[in-house]
Amino acid sequence: MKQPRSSRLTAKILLLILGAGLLQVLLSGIVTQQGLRSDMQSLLIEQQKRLNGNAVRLIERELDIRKHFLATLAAQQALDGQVSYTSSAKLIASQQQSIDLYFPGGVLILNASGIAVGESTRVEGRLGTSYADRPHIRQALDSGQPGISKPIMGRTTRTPILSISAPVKNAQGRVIGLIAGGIQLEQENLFDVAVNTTLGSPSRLFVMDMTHQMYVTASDPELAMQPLPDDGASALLAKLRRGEDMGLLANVETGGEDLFIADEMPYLGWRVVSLTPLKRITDKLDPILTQNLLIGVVFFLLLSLALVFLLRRAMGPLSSAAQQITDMMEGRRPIQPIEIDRTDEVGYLVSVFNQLTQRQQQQALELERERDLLRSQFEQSSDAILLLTIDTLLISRANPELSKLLGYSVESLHDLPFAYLLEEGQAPLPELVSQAMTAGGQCVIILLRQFGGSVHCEVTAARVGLPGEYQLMLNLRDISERLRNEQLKNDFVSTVSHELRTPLTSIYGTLRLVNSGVLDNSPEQAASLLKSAEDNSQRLTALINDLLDIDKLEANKLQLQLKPLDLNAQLQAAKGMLSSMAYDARVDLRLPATCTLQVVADEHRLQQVLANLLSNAIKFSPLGGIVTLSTEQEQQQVRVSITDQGDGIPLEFQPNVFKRFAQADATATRQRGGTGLGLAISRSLMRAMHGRIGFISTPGQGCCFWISLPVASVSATSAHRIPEVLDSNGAKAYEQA
Amino acid sequence: MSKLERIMHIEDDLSIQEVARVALEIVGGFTVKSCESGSQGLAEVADFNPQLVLLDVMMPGMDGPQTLAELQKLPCMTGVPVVFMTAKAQTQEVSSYRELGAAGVIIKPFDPMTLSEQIIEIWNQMHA
Repeated sequence: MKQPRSSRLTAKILLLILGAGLLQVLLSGIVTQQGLRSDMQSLLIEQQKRLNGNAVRLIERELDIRKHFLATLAAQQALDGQVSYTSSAKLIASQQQSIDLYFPGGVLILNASGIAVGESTRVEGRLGTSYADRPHIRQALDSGQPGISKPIMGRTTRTPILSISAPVKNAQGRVIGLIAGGIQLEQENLFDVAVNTTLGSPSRLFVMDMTHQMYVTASDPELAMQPLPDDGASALLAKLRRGEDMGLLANVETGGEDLFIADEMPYLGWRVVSLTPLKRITDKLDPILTQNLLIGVVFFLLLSLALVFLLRRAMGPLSSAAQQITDMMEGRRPIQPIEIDRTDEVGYLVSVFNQLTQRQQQQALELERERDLLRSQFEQSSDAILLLTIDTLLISRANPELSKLLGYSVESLHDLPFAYLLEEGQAPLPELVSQAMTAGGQCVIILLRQFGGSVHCEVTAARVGLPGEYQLMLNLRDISERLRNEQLKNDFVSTVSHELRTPLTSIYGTLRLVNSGVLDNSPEQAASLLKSAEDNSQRLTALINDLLDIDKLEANKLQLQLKPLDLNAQLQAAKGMLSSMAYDARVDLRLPATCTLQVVADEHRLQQVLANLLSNAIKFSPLGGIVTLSTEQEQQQVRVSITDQGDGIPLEFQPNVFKRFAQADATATRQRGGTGLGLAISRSLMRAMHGRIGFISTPGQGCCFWISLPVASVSATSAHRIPEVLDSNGAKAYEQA
Repeated sequence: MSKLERIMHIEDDLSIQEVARVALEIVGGFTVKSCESGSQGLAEVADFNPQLVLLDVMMPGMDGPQTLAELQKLPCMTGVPVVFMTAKAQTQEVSSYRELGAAGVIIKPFDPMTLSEQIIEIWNQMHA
């Protein structure tokens, strides 16, 4: 699986932040540039406007200076009281330097008649010429006031000039002359000063006399005295005539725009118009904007570096944690908590991961425990357990107990159809399974063993597994033994019932017949029946006693008084007790040797065992037969043997000798007495007394029953059970511990 | 329907055999042939020609069911009902006797004063 890397996240965050930063820088740059450009343009326009005003004032000042200069000259001339050639020449001579400075076009001194009487610059034919016909001369002479004329053409110079005049008045205030200074508009453009000092060289200046619709002068002196073009020929004039005093004009030559600013000279009524290329203004913006952009870029780079640093520092632990998690997943390191010394979100994330890991480890541990438990239960269960595929009913897994139960190896059971193991004649497997799966449902099935035979199993079934992969788990409990025990119990009950009912039939029948009086006429028959009833009563009592003994022995409730007993005395007592029976049966009961040993036993129960064995020997002995009692010490045990000369025990019956109600010939029970429980009781009693019991019998050659008891001088040894051994003669010997 | 007169009783317990014989002969008025074993019964059944056989179940040698099987093979036993008389009286045991072909089952201990009536009832049911 491809693992997510925090470095990718870092790159994404970086890209995002840097992209946003870059966008912000660009946007702010654009906005700032636009704002700055707009502000700067406004500022520069204002500045240009101010400069234009300054230029206007400068021109006015220059004109005023000259006007005052002429007024000063007029005042000096007036001191002479007349205006003559001589006085004029004298005045000019004294002020020649200043005159050249202010009026490079020269100064002309006129008398009261308007005739030129003096000049600062020699122009042929000018002196003596009357200028009284010139309107501005005439006006100045008549008004007696200084003035500035409109641009006019010089009469003798034939160049456009601007004439400034100052009247010369005598002491009485009468005009006695006039001093006029001319400014050569083509040559001595005093406005250049204004332009150069205020507006700067790239700007152009126009001084227009809007009243007379003519250029007074301009940066281009050739325009002086030229009529103003109409609106169609000049966009500037069109705007000016519309009253606009500021605006932009397309510059055909540069392809750019020019800013025009117009101001009016209040005294002369002229309009001073400056034209400045807009580029000159914006050019001033570029360095500012470039600087601004550079600052933005530098800031952006610094921010990026800071971001990279901070992000690496922030994401480093995350990347490390991710690597550790990857290593855990790929088994390169054990699953364990990741150490981190952070309290921020990364620390919290790793902490949550650690908690999750810990919880998962606990769950995995619990799961493993559960799995081990289930595996152990599956493997070691005393029940056979198997898993079936739910659709095909094939065995997908079987535990060793099933293998043990049926004889198949676990491997050979794998993929085996379960139906193959079922004995024929049972309900179909799905029906059995369905029955076993119902709540609390159990069913019994019969399975075939591999090497023959069958086994009854009680089955419970359950659906196990996850959706989509369900399986059937069958739990098979071998109930063959239980069924056998139930059968044995039923057989025992049936047998006991039979054994009780049989003598009871005789007793009840006899009593019923006697009491009914039907035998009143047959006293001998009645006596015979009563004798049989009495015998059956004794038989019934013995049977009940035996059953009680059996019950006590099986419940371990039989109380024994184990103590040292003189064996010889016990044997003699038993012989004496059975001597009458032996006599009746014509059997010779012998005890040839005297035994001096003592054994540990319960006296009453030892006598019961000896009586049982002796009575059996007598019952099965032929007429005139001999029953011998003998003893033999075997280490710390004493064996007492009772040997008869009867027919012996059939081989096929020998394994059943000690079972309840087992008699080779059932007739013996009734014909020879006995309850069928004697040997079973004797075996239990000998066990209880830490002794053993057994027999050796060869059919046709009599039988030897023996018991073995611990000698009194030693502690009772633990008995051991040897079900079947061979005696020295090769006959089968049965021993019950 | 002929009258029931001859009954063969096969029983190994002599005291029971005697009680039954008294009950059948003196109380019931039947002619009874008592046998101590199945083999004796088989040997004498043809001569006695019983109308009904009363058969003990638990007997040494040939037990009741075996004796019944052998009796059923005999021509003289055709139509002769066999009634088991037994001290093995559990339900499934009684059912199994009937399945073997017994006409009836009399449980020990029986009442000798009503034994004949029980047998006659079975006889009548057989010939109803």
